[in-house]
Amino acid sequence: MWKKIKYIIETHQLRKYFGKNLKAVDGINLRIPKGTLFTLLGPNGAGKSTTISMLTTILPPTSGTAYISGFDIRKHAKKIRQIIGVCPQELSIYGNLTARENIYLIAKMHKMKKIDYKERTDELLGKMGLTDRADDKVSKYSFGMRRRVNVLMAVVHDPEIIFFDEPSTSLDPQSRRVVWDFIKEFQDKNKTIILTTHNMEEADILSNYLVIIDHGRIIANGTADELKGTLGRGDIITFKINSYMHSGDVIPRIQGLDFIDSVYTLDDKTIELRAKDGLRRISEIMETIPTRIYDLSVRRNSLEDVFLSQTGRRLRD
Amino acid sequence: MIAYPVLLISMAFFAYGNSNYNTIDIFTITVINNDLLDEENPEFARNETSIFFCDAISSKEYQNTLIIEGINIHVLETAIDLLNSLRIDAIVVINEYFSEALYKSPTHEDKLPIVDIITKDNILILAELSLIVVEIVNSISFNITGAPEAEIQSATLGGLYFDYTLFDLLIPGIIIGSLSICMSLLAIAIAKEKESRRMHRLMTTPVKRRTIITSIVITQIITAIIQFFIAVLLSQLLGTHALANVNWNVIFFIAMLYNLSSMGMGLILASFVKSARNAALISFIITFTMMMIGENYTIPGEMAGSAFIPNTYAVDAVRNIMLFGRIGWDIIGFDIIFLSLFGMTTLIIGLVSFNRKYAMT
Ligand SMILES: Nc1ncnc2c1ncn2[C@@H]1O[C@H](COP(=O)(O)OP(=O)(O)OP(=O)(O)O)[C@@H](O)[C@H]1O
Ligand SMILES: [Mg+2]
Repeated sequence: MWKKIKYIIETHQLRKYFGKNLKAVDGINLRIPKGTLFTLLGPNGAGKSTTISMLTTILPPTSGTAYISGFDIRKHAKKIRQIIGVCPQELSIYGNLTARENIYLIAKMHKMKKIDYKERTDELLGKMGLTDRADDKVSKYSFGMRRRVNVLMAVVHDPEIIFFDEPSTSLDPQSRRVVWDFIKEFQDKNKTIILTTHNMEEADILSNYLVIIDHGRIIANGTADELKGTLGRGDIITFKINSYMHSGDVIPRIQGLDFIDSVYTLDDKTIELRAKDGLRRISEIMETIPTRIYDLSVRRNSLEDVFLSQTGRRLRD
Repeated sequence: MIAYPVLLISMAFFAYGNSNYNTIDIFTITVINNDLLDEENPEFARNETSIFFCDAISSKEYQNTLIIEGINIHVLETAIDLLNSLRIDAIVVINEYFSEALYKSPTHEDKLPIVDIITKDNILILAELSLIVVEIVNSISFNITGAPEAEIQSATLGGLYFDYTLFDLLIPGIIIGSLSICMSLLAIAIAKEKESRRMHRLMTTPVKRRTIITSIVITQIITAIIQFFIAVLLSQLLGTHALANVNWNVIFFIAMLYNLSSMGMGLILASFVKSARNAALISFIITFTMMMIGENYTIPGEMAGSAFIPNTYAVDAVRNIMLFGRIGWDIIGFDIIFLSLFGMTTLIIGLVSFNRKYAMT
């Protein structure tokens, strides 16, 4: 019987353990409304791909429940497979087929009609700038081109829910933009998109909503602005001080300034501070420091900082 | 794909080049030398080469295989009596034109250096003895310019007859061996799909897992069929003397039965290996071991464990059909039963373990 589904993806205490000790996914609760571009942000090994594997019916969970469009992933895998598209993190393409053939293969597996998938494939290849090379074997493609084919294979059948597992990893900035624009288009068409990444810029630009995952657990969630807001607004200034001073000697002086939100040390010689309007008032800060400084950088508050403040580690290290 | 049979052949020669046929049996033979002096042409050193032959066959080199029960001490009739009463295992008869034929004497230009081998009913002794005789004759004719190759005529008293080269004896092993490679191919193909995560991609589509695995297996079965024909074609091109009226249909049937086991074992292997590299490595070791234990390239003897290896039965059946034209249920029936059971069992275990690996329906 048809029933109204509030969330197109809903999980409850979803867990996946590999062996006894490796808790790859450790109790994840998600509620994703239709049409959301939902990002799982987290460092290597956080459990992003494992979560995707469970949601895409490849990996049975150790415990917990997950519903995709109201279908239980354990019981109605086949129904789910009809409405999802998956772009795996690895290049899962056939090197000895052409880009077109690779895409046709998935279209056929979804029982699409030839006239439909032919037209759609041409359109998709055009969007990714692959039209000229569409009939070359993929093994002759550059890495970036292969990644684009990898992405296209996920969407040829126009699925309702699309999973992109690190679609832009190790792409150059230009190709990355192409992929981002491509993903955004689906967002505009009210498709639900689950994206994983450890690129905070990508998460920031694309997501409607995001969760930060670490060690298989959600450590923060919200929109990008909400998350950044938890850290206070303003600029982040980082610098190193001269060798004979210790950061501990310097911090109290900076704290004296009234426009400083917070100041802390990253290591013995590195100091980071947050300040409203910090860039403009940087000279005032420098005046309080009785030694030479170097490696000065000023940047906007980012999701990286959210991660840092939650875990004390950087996303990539 | 062409590369595999070639690889197997070189492997076979390698295997032979380094072994003394690995036999455990010692058998007793008697030699009759009919290569007599020719009174009309005394200038030809007849006898010389046949005596050399007799020396060679009774030399140290073969003392682990042969016990010589006299050279020229029996006439054919008494020798056959000995054979029938199981006192000896084989008779080797050197043809009367042996030396002359080797030297291409003008008066006997059309004659061939012929050696007959006769056993009671044991074709395996026949086969093994043929190899030894061919080896000796070739080593003799190698030293004579323009000498023709020896002709070996072998027969059992029961009437089985053959006329082989070493290569002929290897052919059945090569045909079956080329199919055991398909186990590797299947395991590697699946491991590659897994490793590249293409398997995962395929499995997120509505196509059933059963359909996916079936199509991979069918691809490999087609490869196996092509392999079979390549091996057969190659054996013909390289000149086998297998029986002219060989029943290829039955050989093909046996080969495909054997291939069931290959597919089953390939699936089992694929369900636990992590990478294509591992699949290749492990399956090569398994294939090679099976060929050795299954005596693909050696004369069937008592290789330990050979009774549990499908190769043994497949090669045995193909040898019987191809070389001896023996095709009756009493001869190859057990081979067929073993191959069917083994093939079905491994195939079922393989499919079950594959399905368990991808447990979600
Ligand atoms: N099949 C598996 N068997 C055993 N351990 C696994 C398996 N798959 C993943 N893991 C482990 O689970 C943890 C989470 O892995 P996962 O691939 O989900 O991380 P991720 O967030 O996608 O990381 P990345 O950004 O590197 O892709 C890791 O410690 C990984 O080693
Ligand atoms: Mg991952």
